[in-house]
Amino acid sequence: MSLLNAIDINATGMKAQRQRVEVATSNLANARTTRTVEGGPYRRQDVVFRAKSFAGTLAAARGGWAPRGVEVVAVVDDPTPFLESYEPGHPDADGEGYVSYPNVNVMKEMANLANASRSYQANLSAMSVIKTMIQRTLDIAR
Amino acid sequence: MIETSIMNFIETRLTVAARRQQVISANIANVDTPGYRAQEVTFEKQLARLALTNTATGHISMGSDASFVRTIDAGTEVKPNGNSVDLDHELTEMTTNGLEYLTLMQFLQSKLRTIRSSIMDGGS
Repeated sequence: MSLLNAIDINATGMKAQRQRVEVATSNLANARTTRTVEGGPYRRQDVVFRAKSFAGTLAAARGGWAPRGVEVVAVVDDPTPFLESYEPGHPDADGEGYVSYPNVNVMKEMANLANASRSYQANLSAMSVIKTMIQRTLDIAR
Repeated sequence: MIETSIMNFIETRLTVAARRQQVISANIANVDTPGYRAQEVTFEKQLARLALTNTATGHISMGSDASFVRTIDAGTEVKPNGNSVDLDHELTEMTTNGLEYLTLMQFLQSKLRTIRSSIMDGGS
């Protein structure tokens, strides 16, 4: 039944937004991390979303239209430069007294988090609506 | 005879509503996907344009699956990453569509009750 398929679609949406939230919170938690295991300051990360086809659907096999979900295909580093700050006394200061801070803009990251949360909620609402529709359909058969 | 055409009508509308929910679900899931263009079900618009081709009284053929799903003409509403999904629009459409589906179900249920009781009474 096509409605059950729709639940799977929004489930992929929730999963993708949750991964986006995880990366955003990692960015926020490490906004001032000047020293990482790999050396150097923490570098901001981003998720890359892509539409995902459900290969197994009957409609796709028949060459008809099929709805697409979403998936995170990669977590990539943000290439923008680190923020330099002149702090000669800092343990991670370089030869000239500059400390490199992560390329994380806290305000932008909070906005990112808020948007991810809203998108997640929208997917959740969709699943709730679909569930009601399916339940109503089952009621008919009773 | 009249019952059959009403049932066919309800069935068609329910199929459209279910398809519309699929399209909305896909749009909502892809609200942040770069380059994704929002889609919609244009059944009502096409119904207004087409001469009705009936296979049975009141039954309207859905045709091939793809024929009722179109990309929304977004105009200037496309975000910098190429995504054209308007979340507010999708949530509104979903509410309206959900209500239509539930209304049709309600109507179907009462029709079935009428049919069922007339079958039972017919034997007495």
